[in-house]
Amino acid sequence: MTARSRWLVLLGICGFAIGIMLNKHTLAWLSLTTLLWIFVEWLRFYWQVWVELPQLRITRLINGQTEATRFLWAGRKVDVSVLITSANATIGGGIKIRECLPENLLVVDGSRQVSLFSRQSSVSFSYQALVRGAGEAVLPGYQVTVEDAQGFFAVDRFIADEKRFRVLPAFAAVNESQPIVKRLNSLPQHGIHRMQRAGLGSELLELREYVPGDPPKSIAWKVSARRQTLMTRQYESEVPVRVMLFVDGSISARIGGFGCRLLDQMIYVTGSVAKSAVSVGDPVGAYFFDERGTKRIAASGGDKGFYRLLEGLSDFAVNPPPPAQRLSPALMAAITRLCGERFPELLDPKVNQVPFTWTPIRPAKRRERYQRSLLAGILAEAYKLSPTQVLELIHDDNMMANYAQRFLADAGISWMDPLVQSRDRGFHDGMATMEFLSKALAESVAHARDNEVYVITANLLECATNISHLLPAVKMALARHHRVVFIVPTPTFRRPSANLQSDQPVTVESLLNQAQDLRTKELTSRLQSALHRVGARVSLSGEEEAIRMVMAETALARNGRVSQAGAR
Amino acid sequence: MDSHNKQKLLEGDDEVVWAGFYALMAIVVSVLFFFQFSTGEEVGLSLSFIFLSLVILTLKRWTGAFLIMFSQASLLLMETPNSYQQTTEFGPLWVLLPLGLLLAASRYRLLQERNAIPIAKSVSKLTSIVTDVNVSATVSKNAAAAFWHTLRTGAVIFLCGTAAWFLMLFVPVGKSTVGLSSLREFSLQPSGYRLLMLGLSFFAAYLVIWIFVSWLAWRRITPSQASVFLRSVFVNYYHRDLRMFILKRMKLRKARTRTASPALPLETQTGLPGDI
Repeated sequence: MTARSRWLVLLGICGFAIGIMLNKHTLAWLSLTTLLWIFVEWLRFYWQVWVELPQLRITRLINGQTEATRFLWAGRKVDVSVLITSANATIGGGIKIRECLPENLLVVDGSRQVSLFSRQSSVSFSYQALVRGAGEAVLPGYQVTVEDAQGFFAVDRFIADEKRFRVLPAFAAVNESQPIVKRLNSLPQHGIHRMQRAGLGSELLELREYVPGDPPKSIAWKVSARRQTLMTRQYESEVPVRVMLFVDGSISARIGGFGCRLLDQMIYVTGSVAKSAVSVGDPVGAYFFDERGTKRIAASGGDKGFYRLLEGLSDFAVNPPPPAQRLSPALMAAITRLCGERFPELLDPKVNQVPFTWTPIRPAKRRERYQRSLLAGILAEAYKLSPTQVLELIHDDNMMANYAQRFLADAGISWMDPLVQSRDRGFHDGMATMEFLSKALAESVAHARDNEVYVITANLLECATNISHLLPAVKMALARHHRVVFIVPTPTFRRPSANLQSDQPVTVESLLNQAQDLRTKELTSRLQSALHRVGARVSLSGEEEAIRMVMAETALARNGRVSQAGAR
Repeated sequence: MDSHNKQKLLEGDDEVVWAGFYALMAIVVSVLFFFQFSTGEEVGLSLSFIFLSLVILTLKRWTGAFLIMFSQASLLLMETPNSYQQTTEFGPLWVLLPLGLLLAASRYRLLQERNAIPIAKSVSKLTSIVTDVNVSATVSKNAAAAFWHTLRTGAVIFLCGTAAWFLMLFVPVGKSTVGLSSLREFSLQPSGYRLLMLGLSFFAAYLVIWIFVSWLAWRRITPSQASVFLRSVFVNYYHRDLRMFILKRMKLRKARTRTASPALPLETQTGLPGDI
């Protein structure tokens, strides 16, 4: 019953009683008619809820297909159309059907809900949604609101129709990200690259004095004659270059909305680099590291290897259980909202009974406790908890916070306030990231066979001042003749510019952005100088130009040059 | 106005239909109240103003409860006492018209809320029926259908009014009431007796229906609802004992955490020997 019908029932009862008591026939008649009318509307409403609503048949088409396509692509749009019919002939009026969407999908066109005012045989709605970030997207079902024609009664129901999709990361097209520097004139076969290491290739690396044991055919006779001593030609090694991608999934990289996380930025760059490498025949492998440990994907080439890598990136992009937080009112409000959307029938106090207690006495606290008891019942049902644990949820804030976070994370909520409260913990996260990265680098060097290109995408800006903790691992990799390229994501997704753009209007946002740019630039210059000193390359990512630059850097590292001019 | 909206005008549940119906009912009820209040006193004029303000306020808020309350108050003040079972010629109008007004106001407000249409747009849509020739043509084409649709919806009120009238016939009347000795014994007025009898009768009917509906609701419960219900009932039964047990355990855990050495691993600090 809504407030409307409650008021009318109250007025009807009072008016009827007064009419009878004071012998006012028309007053009693009017009041009794009001009561009867509400009763009839109540009967019609519950007929609709109990008999007609279960007969609804909802069919969802994703990109024109009824079956789940199993995967979507980040950054692309997906067409969803929903057809609602009934096993009965018609669908009753007063129904509003709304598709519940995860945060990873953003409606860009159309509407994801439909309202029926009068009886119809079928109804449909369609919308276009943008997939924000890699990972997972779950379409849980539909929220249905049934309301009578006058707004006297209303009830919410949830119709589950779960479809789970793996979201593969976006990547730049390989043609757009070709390096702009000139390549060698004599192109080797796919997968064969010249390395600055002696081998049995066809390209001359250097001339050196003959030592016993050198093959006689490698003696450079003309040069030997000129210098009056035997000289030997040394050729470059022609071996496949493995590209190992390191992706940082620590807490700081996962905080933010889907598509705006540093991790999304890193995954985009990583995917683009992998595509570029695979297109020239290089095998690509990956190391994913975060608080849970390190996961390795062995290097492999071709489209199969590339898609295996994308699947690995997609799985890695799914947020793990979030770090523990304190129970906050915002967290409780978020879980209440979500429960109202997904489990409206379990919020009914007739079903989810709340134990009576004398405490707390204050009405606001009592309401809060009542709400918490209802939520505890739903969480207990969702995670199959015992009655004892239900009471623990009601009284133990830490336990409630843990389960609330888990519930929100399972529902596809991104790591933002209130799920994960953002606070300044850059230093501690940075230290942890460097530790995880050092371990991953050491493990990778132990597995490495030959010269490899290490592309490290990690959030290292916050630890620019303490980068010395990472340098031993980097030096070890460089000492083993591996190329190391660092790709550092920026919080603003833009490359920091030193110049303040004077033509833009001065607003608070623009000033804050410029301040952020300046800070990022300062940190970047520190990081670059520290890593350049040991021989590694550093680049910022976040936009197309940056990715092209990364490609060029990777290509340089791959072909053995040290600069774009071509000097070795 | 685009062609789609023109086509939609007066096709049934368009808010223009209900705005028009509401305006019509407001005028009719105003006339009724005007006749009722036209006693030449200033009170009547004031009441008319109050009613008009309620009618206008409905454009912004749902005022159905106030409208009914106003009608009831008018009947309470103006209707002659001892008119029990003496239906006047205006009696049915006093029942049907206020409820018709309530129906129109409720439906109109609901449609307005659902469509999220501002009042200005709604009013302009209504005035376009008169000003715009094309819209007028569409309206006149669909007017009959809209009228029948509205009438069909309003027929529920007529049926309820008729049913209420029949029910009122069963109200015990006068001194010939069965149980007169009880009336004398308990010093009850005949009207109080009637109220008790009717109240008990309606309560009994409500109880039967409530039991039936509850049984029906219980039969339609889903497995997850049943699971939550059982768990919550169990918690209710053993609430006092379980709460005492849990609060004690939490207290112990807190005390142990406070006294634990930070050098110890976390798992050795949180686990209690007595934990269940």
